[in-house]
Amino acid sequence: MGLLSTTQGRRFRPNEWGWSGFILTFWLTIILLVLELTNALPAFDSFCYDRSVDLLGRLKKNDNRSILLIESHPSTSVTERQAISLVEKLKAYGARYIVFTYLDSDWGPEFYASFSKDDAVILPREIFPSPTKPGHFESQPLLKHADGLPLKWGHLGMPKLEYGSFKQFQTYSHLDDGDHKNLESLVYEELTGEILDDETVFIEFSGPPGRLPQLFSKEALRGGLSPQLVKGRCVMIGQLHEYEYLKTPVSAIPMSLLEYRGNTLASLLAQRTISPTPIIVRFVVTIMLILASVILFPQLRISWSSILFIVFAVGFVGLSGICLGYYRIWLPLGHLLAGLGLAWGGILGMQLSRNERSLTQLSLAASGNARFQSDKKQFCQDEDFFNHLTQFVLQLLPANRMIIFERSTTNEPLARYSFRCSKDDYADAMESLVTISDEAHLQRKPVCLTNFFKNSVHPCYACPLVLAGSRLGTWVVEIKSDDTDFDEKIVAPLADLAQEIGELLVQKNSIVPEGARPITSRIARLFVQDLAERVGTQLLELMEHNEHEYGRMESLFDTISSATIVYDLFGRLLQINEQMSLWIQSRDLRVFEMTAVEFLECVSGESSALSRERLLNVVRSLETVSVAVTDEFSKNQDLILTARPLILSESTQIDIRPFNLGGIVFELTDVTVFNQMSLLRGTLFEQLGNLVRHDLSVIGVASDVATHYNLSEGDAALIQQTVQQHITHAAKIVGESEEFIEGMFTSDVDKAYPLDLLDLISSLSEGWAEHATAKEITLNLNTPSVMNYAFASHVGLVSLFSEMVSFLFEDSHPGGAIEIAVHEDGYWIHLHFSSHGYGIPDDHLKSLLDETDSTRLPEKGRGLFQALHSIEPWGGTFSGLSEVGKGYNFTIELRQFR
Amino acid sequence: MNNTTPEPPLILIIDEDQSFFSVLQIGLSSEGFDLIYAGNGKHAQACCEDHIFSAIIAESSIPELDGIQFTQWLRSHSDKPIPVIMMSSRTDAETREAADAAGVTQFLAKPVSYEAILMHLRKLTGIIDG
Repeated sequence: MGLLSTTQGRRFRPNEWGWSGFILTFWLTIILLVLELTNALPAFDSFCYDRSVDLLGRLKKNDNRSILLIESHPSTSVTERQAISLVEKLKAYGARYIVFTYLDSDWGPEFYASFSKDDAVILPREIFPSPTKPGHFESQPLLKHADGLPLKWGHLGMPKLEYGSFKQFQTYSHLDDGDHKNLESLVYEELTGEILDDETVFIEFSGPPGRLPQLFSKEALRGGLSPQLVKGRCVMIGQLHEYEYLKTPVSAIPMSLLEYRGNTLASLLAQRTISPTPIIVRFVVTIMLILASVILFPQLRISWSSILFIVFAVGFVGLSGICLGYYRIWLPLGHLLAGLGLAWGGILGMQLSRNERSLTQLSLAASGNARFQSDKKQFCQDEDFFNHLTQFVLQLLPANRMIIFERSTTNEPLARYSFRCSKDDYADAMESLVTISDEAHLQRKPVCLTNFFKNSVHPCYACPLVLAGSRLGTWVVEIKSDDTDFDEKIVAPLADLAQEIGELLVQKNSIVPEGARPITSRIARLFVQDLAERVGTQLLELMEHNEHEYGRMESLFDTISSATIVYDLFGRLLQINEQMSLWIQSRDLRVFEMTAVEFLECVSGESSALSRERLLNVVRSLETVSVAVTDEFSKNQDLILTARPLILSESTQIDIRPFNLGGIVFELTDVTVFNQMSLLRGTLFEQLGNLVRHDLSVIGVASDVATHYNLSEGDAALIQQTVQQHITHAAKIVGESEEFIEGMFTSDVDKAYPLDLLDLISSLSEGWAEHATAKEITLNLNTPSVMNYAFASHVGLVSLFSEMVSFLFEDSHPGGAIEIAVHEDGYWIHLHFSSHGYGIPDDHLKSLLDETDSTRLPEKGRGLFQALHSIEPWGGTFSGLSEVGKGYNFTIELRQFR
Repeated sequence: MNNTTPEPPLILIIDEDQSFFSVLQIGLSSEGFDLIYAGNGKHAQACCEDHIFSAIIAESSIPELDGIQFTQWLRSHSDKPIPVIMMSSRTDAETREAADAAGVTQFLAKPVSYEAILMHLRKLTGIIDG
């Protein structure tokens, strides 16, 4: 009782007030505890309880059969025949079914006749006041088709949901039918039009996002619906996506409204329901608590202790509700603590607890069901995902490829809940990715990171943010959204993040590999004019007015549920803002907005329809698609772009393949070394496998023959020679593959080896001579007949010479001359390239060749700059002179190989 | 075409890699087979004009006329159902279906074993072991 004494030293004496608040409060506490422990409090009364419990009251306890939710929405692409077929299938599994009907549903009597009266509950999705029975409601399709079936009015009380996306739904539900269709049409066309077609409608399974499998409706309607998939679950048929929800073959995106319905129903089935407390009881309890408080509070007087007491009570209730709700502690314990808080919190505590408890109970019900259905694992807590992803990225990075990584989250209640649980995991993953990108670019490897923070962007086919690194020499940004505010909320911070990463790339790898140019030129040609200017300008303007934009974004972020993450990003962006602004001013930032289809179309040169079809294959069938990249810039380089599915988990017990699809990985590989593009089919490594298979065949057969027969000396020698020959060949393939994986392109450029310079110049000079003749320029080549090998890279030298000579050709006017002279001296081989053309001031040339010179125009002399700097890793040197009216004079010194 | 079937069974080996033929010849000649080598599809066609083979072992990726095209040609130009064993590094369903459609008798995915080749040859040519 000491807790109830005041700070004035006056003992709390219940008898002093007769009908005392103490006794009232004490007994109310006991009553509330009992009610709590018997699940009797009105936990669901603020959302869907009234009608849904009544509706589902027909379901027997311990009934673990499936519930089939069928929505005969007029816009559904599930035909009546298909629905009937599926109903029959599910009936064989003992499913119950609940039918949501729409006024204008075109499913007829045959559909309703497929139900049995014992198991069906018909729930009109849209009702209207009955013209014949005042105070009653009717639904036309029920009257027409559902004769004899048990009817229930209402639809899970959805209009009572008052937070998160349900506000949105509630708003939408008041729109008229035309508005509905317009909205749906808008969403559908804007957001799913990229790859999805009309046939891509999915059957959704309730449960926690990321764990429960989903099927293509077509596959399900063909009978591909196994009992284990539907046992104890809610199966939704014909339910279109809601307006805030994108249909998806991957369950990483929660099913918002469907999810809630399903989980609610499943929770009820799993006996997680709480019996309704009669209104009269709730009323009496509330009145008694009010009376108790009215009596008690004046006696406590206003003092620090009483204020602290109230604050403590309120805080206790609030924090316990929040903690219990978000961390899913044992349900009865939550009830107990919440009950204690209710009892001791007084009116304010009561009010607060009621609100909190509703949320808590709802979350607990849903999460309890989620635990039940997902074997106590939450999808975002799955460490395997990030481990797998990290390994995946690490495996691909050394292969000189572009990687697209995607990560999704959502603002839906269930997913938000899970996301909070996995915040650390997410932070770790992001950190590791940054580390990966950092390491990768230290090696001049391409990295392409994508990221997005809204469920409206589909992880499979949208490729929301593509950040192409040094390999492409460009930045590619692709974002799709169903939200008109999406640009303001998400695009800007993501673009900033992209630039932060880009800054890292630039810092670590200021020299774009020369091999980037072919693709760069293609992308640039197709997209620079149309897209780069628009998107790039927007982003740059945003950067310039970042202070204002940040303030605006901050207010917007208040309205979205994933604010925690965005704020995190936001904070990081603020920190890098200054450096980023400097960087943007000094660099040539090109940002392209393109979809995955456009990207594939652009790089491959194929039609949009074909690119769309290819990506559909990747998404739907998990096929790997490879296309030869047409390279109009350089005929000497062959590239393959491979789009393949990113598999999140290989250990799933149920083989629903789209469930495992986490994204598309684009791989850009340089296959010049193989020079057999026409023979390449499938992925590069399949081709390598084919080559090795033949060697293994010969080796195996030869070994078998050698051990089966007594061979003559000649045959034995032949066998031995054959085996050795194929082992060598296979080893060569494997070695080349390893070299290729390690980064064939960069290794060729960076790693020097003995090279016959005269032979190389001789082979190149033919092309130079032709070019010189065409431009009426004299080419004077002065080389010794014999010379030591130079220490350089063949690929690098070819690039360097091409750049140098092109530069000189541009400088020369018709009738001019270009001099190329080679000689050796001591340990060095000297190459002199000179022209007698227009020239530029020597200071300008030095500026062009100076990496740190910020006055240099980004593109001017870029190729020459890169080419000349490629000499440094070989131990060579270069120097350049220029004079206006006299042309250029470049000297390259390469180490001799002796 | 020659109307007499040579004894022992005459086998045509079509493979770009002659070392594979050499190895097979060492083994299969000990088993009583005679082997003829063709390095490409055109050469194989010429061989079929001059001989009647008991069986043909063809690599799928041979120059000029690949294994499937050769088999199609063989089926359209020969009345006798000469068994064709096709070896391929490609094991996908599409390749197998194409081989079946062309009339390939036995499809072997590489790497193949000598035992498998021998077993199928004996089966297809009717030779009993021993």
